[in-house]
Amino acid sequence: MTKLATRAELDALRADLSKAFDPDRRRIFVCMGTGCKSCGGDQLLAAFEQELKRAKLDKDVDIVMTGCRGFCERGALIAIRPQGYLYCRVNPTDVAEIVDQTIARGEVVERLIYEMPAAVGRKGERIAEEASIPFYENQMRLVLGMNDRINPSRIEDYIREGGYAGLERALFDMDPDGIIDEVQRSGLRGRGGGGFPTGQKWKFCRAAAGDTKYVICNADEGDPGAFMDRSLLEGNPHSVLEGMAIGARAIGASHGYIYIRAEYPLAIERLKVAIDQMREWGLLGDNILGSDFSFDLIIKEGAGAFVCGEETALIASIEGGRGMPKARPPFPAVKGLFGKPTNINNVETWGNVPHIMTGGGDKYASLGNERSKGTKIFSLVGKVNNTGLVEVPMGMELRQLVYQIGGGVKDGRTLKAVQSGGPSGGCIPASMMHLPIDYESLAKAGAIMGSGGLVVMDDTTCMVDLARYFLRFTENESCGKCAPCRLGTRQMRMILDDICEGRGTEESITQLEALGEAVRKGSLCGLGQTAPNPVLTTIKYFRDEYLAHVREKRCPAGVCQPLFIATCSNRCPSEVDIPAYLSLVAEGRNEEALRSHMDRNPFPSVCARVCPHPCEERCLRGTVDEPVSIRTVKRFMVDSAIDVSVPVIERPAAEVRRTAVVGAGPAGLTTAYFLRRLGHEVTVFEGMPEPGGMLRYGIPAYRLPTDELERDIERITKMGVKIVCNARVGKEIPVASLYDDFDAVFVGSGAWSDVAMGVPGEDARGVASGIEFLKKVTLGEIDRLSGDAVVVGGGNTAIDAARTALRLGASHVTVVYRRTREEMPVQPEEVTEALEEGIQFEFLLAPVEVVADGQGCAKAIKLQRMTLGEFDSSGRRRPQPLEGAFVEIPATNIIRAIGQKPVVPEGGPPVSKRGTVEVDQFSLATVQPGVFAGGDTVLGPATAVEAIAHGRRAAEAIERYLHPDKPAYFPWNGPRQLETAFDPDAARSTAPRSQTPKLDPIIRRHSFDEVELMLSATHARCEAGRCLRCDFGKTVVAREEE
Amino acid sequence: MNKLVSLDSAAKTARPRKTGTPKIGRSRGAVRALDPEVERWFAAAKAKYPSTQSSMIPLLQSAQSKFGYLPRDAMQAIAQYLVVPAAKVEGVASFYAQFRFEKPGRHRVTVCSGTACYVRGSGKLMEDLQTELAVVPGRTTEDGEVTLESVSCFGACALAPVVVIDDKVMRQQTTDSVRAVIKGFSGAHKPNGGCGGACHNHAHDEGSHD
Repeated sequence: MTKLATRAELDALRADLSKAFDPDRRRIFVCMGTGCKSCGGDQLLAAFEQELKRAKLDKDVDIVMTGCRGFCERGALIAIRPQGYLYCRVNPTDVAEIVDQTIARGEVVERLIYEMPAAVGRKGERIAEEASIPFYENQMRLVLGMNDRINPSRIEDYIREGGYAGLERALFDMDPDGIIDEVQRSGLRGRGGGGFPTGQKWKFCRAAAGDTKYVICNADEGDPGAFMDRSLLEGNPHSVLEGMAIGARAIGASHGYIYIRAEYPLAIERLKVAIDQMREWGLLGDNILGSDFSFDLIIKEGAGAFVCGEETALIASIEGGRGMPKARPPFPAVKGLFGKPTNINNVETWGNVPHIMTGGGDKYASLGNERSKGTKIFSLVGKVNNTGLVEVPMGMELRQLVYQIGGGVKDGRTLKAVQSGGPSGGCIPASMMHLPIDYESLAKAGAIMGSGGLVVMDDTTCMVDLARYFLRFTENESCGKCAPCRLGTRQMRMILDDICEGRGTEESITQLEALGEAVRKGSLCGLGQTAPNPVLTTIKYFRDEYLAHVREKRCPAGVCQPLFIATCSNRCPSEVDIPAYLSLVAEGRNEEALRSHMDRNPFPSVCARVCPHPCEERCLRGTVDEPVSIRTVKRFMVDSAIDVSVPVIERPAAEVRRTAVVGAGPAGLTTAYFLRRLGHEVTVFEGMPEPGGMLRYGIPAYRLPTDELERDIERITKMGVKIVCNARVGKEIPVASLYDDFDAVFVGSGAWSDVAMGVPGEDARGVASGIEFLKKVTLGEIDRLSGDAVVVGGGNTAIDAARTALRLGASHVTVVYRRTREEMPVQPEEVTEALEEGIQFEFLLAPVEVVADGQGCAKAIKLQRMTLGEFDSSGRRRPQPLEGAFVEIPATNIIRAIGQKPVVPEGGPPVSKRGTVEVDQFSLATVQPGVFAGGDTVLGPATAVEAIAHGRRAAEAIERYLHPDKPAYFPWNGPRQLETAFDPDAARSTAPRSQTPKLDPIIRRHSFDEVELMLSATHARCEAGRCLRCDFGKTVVAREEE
Repeated sequence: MNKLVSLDSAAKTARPRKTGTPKIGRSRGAVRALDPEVERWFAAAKAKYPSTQSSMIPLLQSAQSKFGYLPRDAMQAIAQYLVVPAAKVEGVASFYAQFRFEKPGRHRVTVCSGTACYVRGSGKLMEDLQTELAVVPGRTTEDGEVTLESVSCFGACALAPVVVIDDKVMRQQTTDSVRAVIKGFSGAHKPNGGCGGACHNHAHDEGSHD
């Protein structure tokens, strides 16, 4: 290759390359980014060469090695042109099939194409074309645009695609001021995180006095969780180098440095190749393309110091010293590298420059929003389905990034927060996902754009632990020059250690905030100034989580090990010691197991049947095969144990107080149970004829037989809790009289009020509310149904109502829901059982009218077809009406179950807009002294186990309220006593998860007999033995207070 | 590059012992002869890097890539060559995480502790490996087999948690999978038998996944 001596030669070369390039030629693109390479990219390359030879196609097909395509999670990636197919997770063993099927015959290899994750409501859908995959479809790849079609080691590819045309323009069509004008017009701002206007920065440096000036490319990408720069340098090094040359021309620099992390060997190698090529082709050196511009580039490898990302520290490091920052001013633009004016920009910033030169600043400025222009590359990582590198226009909403491109949160969990900007950034909570991605919006939320690391976190990430993680990082990386940063980060980390290990107090949080402020204000450089951000934002948005750590020594996410015995029991709202009762059952000690359960939850029989078992979703056995079937073991335990009685503390008469409980549901009865255990007198007032609340009247007998419920209630009454039925508080019994007659009041009146559909004809005969229907069935007021039934809704009540309607004789039962099956709030196994029984489900339908006959009786329901639209803040796609698409389902019974609202007795505590009673979430105290509330009354319709958890919480708070001066003592919070045998070295059980035996669906259709059957003793003990005993040998922080 | 050399000589901090002739520096160093291997490396390195302060880090990197760590003699040699006190060389070297001062083991296990890896369980993974190998990060097992290291981010975040074993990037690792590789090393390293209080069974290992 001879050097290109003039602009015309470069243009001619580009034209030739372009002419010789046949876009329709068959090409196989093998991704060779770090990610795909680690998945065997090299072997794939070899395998394709060999297989093409074998198929005698090697002359007709090109193999192109490319840089990172971004979709690293699905690597190794293979793209096939001209079809545009993308194959994911390709192994060398798949190569022969790809060659024979796709290359030779143009057919898709189905099993290798992309499959949509469940989280976005298009589960199982498969997409062959790369461009149609939502991960790519919703991106705007400008800077990364060439990554997927050029070989980064071939300068010819870059030139063919229009490379170095920007440099040409800068050299021959513009003067330096013109270049700076163009960049200023584009609105480009620093992509390293600070967001300083690039054009202005160049202007300062150009204006600085001196003949020798430098440009530096900051490729010290130290933010953990970010790899944009690496991928750009690996995939398209020439674009960055061209940008540097243009910048050098603009400010008058003759040398450029690239300061790159030594941890990026592949990027360094590709840079070296690219620089050699530039030199060889005359794009580097003296009088480039015959102009008066001379420029050379030097690579400097960093040596692993995060602080070197800071301009002045980076300069110190290039100069050969410790990478410590200097006070500014003087700014590097005036006095930088070797004391000369220096302009430093980040890799991505440089990568944007050629696009501005070729497309023009105005065109570039048309992308993005008001103050942030162009595109931004993010590394989307963490607990998201599609991890990888993405480029989006500025101003895109965070939720689009997480859900549309990211495919939602992994394993169907819920989004908790997104961390942007690494250790200098902050956490943005799920409730703020509507924020547009631009410098100002993120800064306003307390985070920063940063270099583009975006770490998605779900409910299993502890925000306190995360803050500690970042502080540990900055503490380690602090260069030590200034005291606020050196000592402040250390102190902050130590306070966070205290909190995570159970030694924290509320004062710790105040101290963190004060220290954070001091470190922010007092530190010399950006590292220290931003170090407190992760702590301050997590305190700002997740204060409750901090409070749970310090007040209750509890880590809700199940991360801070000293605060819980096992993730299962930590996840259980009522915090039952699950490993304890499992191990007791495994040894056949059912009675002790039951006693252990009763310690924290007085409804073993109920929970053994209706609990949605959140514990199982955190069971670590699930990472080996499947979670332990905790609930079925509990069922066996309850049904086979001799009943136990719970001791009541004998208290001196002077200490005994009287509490009134409104509502004999799970929350009220649990409050009564725990208060009674503490020796207090409790009277429960229940408006219905029998106690049990929603458990009795809202859950059908085939799920929870009345006898079983009564067994749990009887145990409570035996202890001396008084239950008065048919006593309606707020009606016959005024609330005020309770306040007068009792020392404390707990309101657990439940969520019995139903939400109307709000459609015409709803008052027709035959239309009922789900909860009302279930209640009447239990009371015996409805004992049969005739005709067809339609149930509207997707929650527990809807499915319960549907299955009850079927059992009462409805000939055909249909459940209609406005979203899809994946979004139904009901337990999935209940849908399965309902389907087995013959209930039909229709999704994406919303009611618009109840059609009545002449007599005012319902005869059908008219529904609107829906489609899933944008993601809402809950991460579910919002259903939207499909214009003009209606269906009518004939039915004489229409049951609506689309929501329930709390009923609060007249004269009771004040309620929020949602209709729930407002309480302090730790003590459940209402604004009225001595009045507490819990369960559905506070939560809205929730689960039994959550109500039970509230009951214990309220009892503890009431005890403290009744005896404010006495140290509180709660026997159930005492030290753990468990003596079951366990050999950690023994081989673990290999038994698979037990299947719950069930009644035959044919019988079920007509019977209210319990659907689920009990495991045999052998099976139950074997299932309990599957527990991995995460609790073994663990000591946890005592919960005893004061 | 000449330009750079002349600029660099203006940096006063780089010349604290300018009064002493290079000869004195050399004669002091010569009290103990350099290790012959270091000598050989040094001869080659001198030809490649000019004697300026800004060659310090590249020289250190060159030594480390040759020996796997920074032998004292190499730092001594660099100090003489750049005419700076040895303390200055060590000061720079100890500032950067990349440099090691101990001979590494035959195998290197590097756990990424970047954010993406951390939220996907690398913290627990690292804890388990420390217990398993009975070393803290940065150190080598007693038998000289394995050096355990931590890196702040590999930039392979989409593959989290990442472990790099002998320069091979391994994606989505678990304690079990890393343990299997370690056990496969020739001269198999004996895992630490008594795990201590923290790790009694596999449950803890898989804790990294939830």
